[in-house]
Amino acid sequence: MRVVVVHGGVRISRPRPGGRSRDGEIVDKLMDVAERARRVLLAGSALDAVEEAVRIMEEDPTFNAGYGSALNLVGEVEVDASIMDGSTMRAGAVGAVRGVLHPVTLARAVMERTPHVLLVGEGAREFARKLGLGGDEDLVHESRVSARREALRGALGGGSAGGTMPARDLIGIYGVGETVGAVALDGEGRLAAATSTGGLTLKLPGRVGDSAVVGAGTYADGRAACSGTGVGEAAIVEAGAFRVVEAVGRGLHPRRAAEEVLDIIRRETGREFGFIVVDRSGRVGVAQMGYGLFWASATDEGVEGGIEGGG
Amino acid sequence: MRTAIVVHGGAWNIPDDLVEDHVRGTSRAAREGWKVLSRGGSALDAVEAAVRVMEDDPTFDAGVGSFLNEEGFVELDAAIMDGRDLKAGAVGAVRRVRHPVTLARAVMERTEHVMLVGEGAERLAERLGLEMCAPGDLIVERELERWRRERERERAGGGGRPPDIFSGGTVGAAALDDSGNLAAAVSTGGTPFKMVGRVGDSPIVGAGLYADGEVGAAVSTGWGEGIMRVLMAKAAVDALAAGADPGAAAEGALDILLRRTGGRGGLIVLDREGEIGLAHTTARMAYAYIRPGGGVEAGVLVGGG
Repeated sequence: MRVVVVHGGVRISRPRPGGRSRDGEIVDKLMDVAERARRVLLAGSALDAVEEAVRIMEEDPTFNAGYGSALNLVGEVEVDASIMDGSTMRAGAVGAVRGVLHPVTLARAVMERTPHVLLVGEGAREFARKLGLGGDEDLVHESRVSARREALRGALGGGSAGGTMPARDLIGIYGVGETVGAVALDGEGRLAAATSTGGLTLKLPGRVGDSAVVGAGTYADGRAACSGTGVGEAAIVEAGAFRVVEAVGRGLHPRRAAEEVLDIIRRETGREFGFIVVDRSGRVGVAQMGYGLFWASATDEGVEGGIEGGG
Repeated sequence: MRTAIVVHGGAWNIPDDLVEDHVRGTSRAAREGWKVLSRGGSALDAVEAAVRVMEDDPTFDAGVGSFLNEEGFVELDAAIMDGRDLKAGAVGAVRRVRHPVTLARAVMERTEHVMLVGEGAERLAERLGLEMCAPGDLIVERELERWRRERERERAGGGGRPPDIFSGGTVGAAALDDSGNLAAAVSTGGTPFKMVGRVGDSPIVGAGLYADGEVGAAVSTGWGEGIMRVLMAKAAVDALAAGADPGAAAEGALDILLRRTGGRGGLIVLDREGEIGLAHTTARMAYAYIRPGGGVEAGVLVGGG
């Protein structure tokens, strides 16, 4: 049983009626990503497959990862990513890194080529330069420049959001979404997970979210692999992805496990979140609370995709 | 309701000639935290106060006196968590901040975020008027010597690096206040000769610390890269929730660390009744605690391995 599941982030606000929707296009892209990653699985490991899936999405400015990431308060791209190999429980992550197109590959290098798990900021960037993994790439896409401008207008009052609002609400309206992630199970029964993001629009420089935190946005062991997306601060304090995997370990179906943790996150933090999960027997869970999680999966039987939730 | 504070000053092979300093330092930290609790202050204030004492004490691998990274800088990580509402704040890889635990608290209380790192975190500290320092102010002669030796070993090229399973002198505190609230805090300089930008378990909620007001609080120390992969503090709090007493919860979580990653460390655990658990799988661990009606209990545990 070989499985790849990918996500392209959550919609955190209700789609505007009559608004131009790119939903179908995003789902199509994700199905393509899942299928390409599945082909990696035919010859490679779950780890290779999740890295490849995330790399494809990091190159696509549709998604908030790598090129075309959300811009922070001062208009820069700073990215977070993590990857975890469930078969060895080794993990690598990077946080608040500038100029790196493929932070997921840099995260894998942290895992495989250093004694550490997490590198951040300039240290991580310097490491990327040393390995020839970039460090000076321009990741700004024009669509994010206007999104940031609009968000700033909202923050300062007078934007379409109407009036000055606390940053908390701004996050909900402009900020999050399009984080990408992947989980996979390979032919040898190995599990892996990866997540990559530009984080929140207007975030403070140096902010690190759940996508760089093993146990929050990404987790994998011998039982299940999980990647999440949403307002990262909530997943960090709830150890979101870790808890999903623990719940699968207690015997829950991956979907039920994800729903249980989403319930806890909503109850204790008031935040919406989404998870994709695959367990060791190839059962898939996609669950989301909020306005929809973009996802796709590919197995030996075929490819499917959609928007989970979306209430 | 019983109030309590428990602190640790690191779990590693603490040399004989540093044992006395460790006992004195953890005792002072526990007393400082207790002072806050006994005048009706919050658990959050108490753990911050206790950790600040150890950040100022060059004995410990936190604040002044921390290990140096491969380029000879001190880079500090810290975090704080409030069990009342599961709010947390954390900072990683900061070089110019005297009290990273206080900056972590500012991240929690004054931003929408949980974690800030590097220069961004330092800029916030400056803007808020927190006490800044020059990177060199955090360096003590003992650590400069260690760094020089390490660099020589690295240059000699022969298996220079210390083994991964190094366990350092991170400091931490957990407290229960008069109103029954729990909090935890942690601060560290990380591992000697670490890479620039390396962030360990300490500022990772669930790995380095966890505080859930309905269950208990836990603070980790030891091999950070392993602790991050098994979320050791969360594992200890989960064990409490499942009915284990604090001592058993600490031992169980350390067992997971050893079994799944081969890593060693120490844990302090505090439950809602003020019961304290201390455990370590390293050679030694420095600790101190105070509970009502008792003086400070402090020492260096031995033989955890």
